[in-house]
Amino acid sequence: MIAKILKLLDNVQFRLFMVGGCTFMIISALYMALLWSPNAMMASTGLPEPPTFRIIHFHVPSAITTYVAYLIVFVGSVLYLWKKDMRYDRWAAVACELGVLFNSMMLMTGMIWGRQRWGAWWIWEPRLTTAFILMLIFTGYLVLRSMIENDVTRARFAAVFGIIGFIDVPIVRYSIKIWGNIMHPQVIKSVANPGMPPDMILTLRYSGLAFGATFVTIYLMRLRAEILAADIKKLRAAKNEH
Amino acid sequence: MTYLFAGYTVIWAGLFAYLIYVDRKVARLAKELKSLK
Repeated sequence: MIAKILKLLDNVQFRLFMVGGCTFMIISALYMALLWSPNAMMASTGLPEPPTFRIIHFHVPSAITTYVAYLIVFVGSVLYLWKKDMRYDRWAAVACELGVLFNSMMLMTGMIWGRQRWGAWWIWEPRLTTAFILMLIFTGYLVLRSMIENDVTRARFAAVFGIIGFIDVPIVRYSIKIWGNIMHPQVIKSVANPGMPPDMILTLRYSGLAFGATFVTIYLMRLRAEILAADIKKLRAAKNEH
Repeated sequence: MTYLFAGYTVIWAGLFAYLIYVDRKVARLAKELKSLK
């Protein structure tokens, strides 16, 4: 199934469809988050939140996308060590690149919000610290990959690194529960009772969908690019032998 | 609000630019593979 979709990406019309879909979702998510979504009220004072609150529609989806990307790294790494198939190593490598990208967005948007709310760009509290460590771990994963020449050795080392590194993801996710009363707010209390106006929840969900669609599109295209590059390398090597 | 709007748009525009870059890369590699075959 995935192989079929990846092959379809060679077709310019299919790529146009995917990029066009993402463009529409990006523009409509921007409109909803910045203009359509209602103002939130501060629980403590009952006054409207400053506009920086709208960054939630960017911050939360980028955090979820980051976790998903690192989960793919974990699954790809486990599958590689189990099946010894380079395909799974590619899954993990591409997911890690995107994971680091979305992780840095999550940190940047969080910092902008924190500057307004806490009066400081950065506070060394558990959620922020563990999220920062997460980015360092997976940046290390990419550095490790770039340092090893041999494909098989690189895939094996990276897989072990990816599995160990993934341990930090549940720590980040559950840091609020683990450390209790920390400064980072728990924005969504539960899926059943999110504690937000319905229009705001709708915007957050739609923004998440836009992020998800953009992630999937970039991920599949990057994966296809990796496969094409590997095929070209093999073909050139075969031609040089003859 | 203006800064927020600008910042938000810049980040989305960056993601979109990356999407286009990857799209171009796939197109170039697919063409190269076809010519090699």
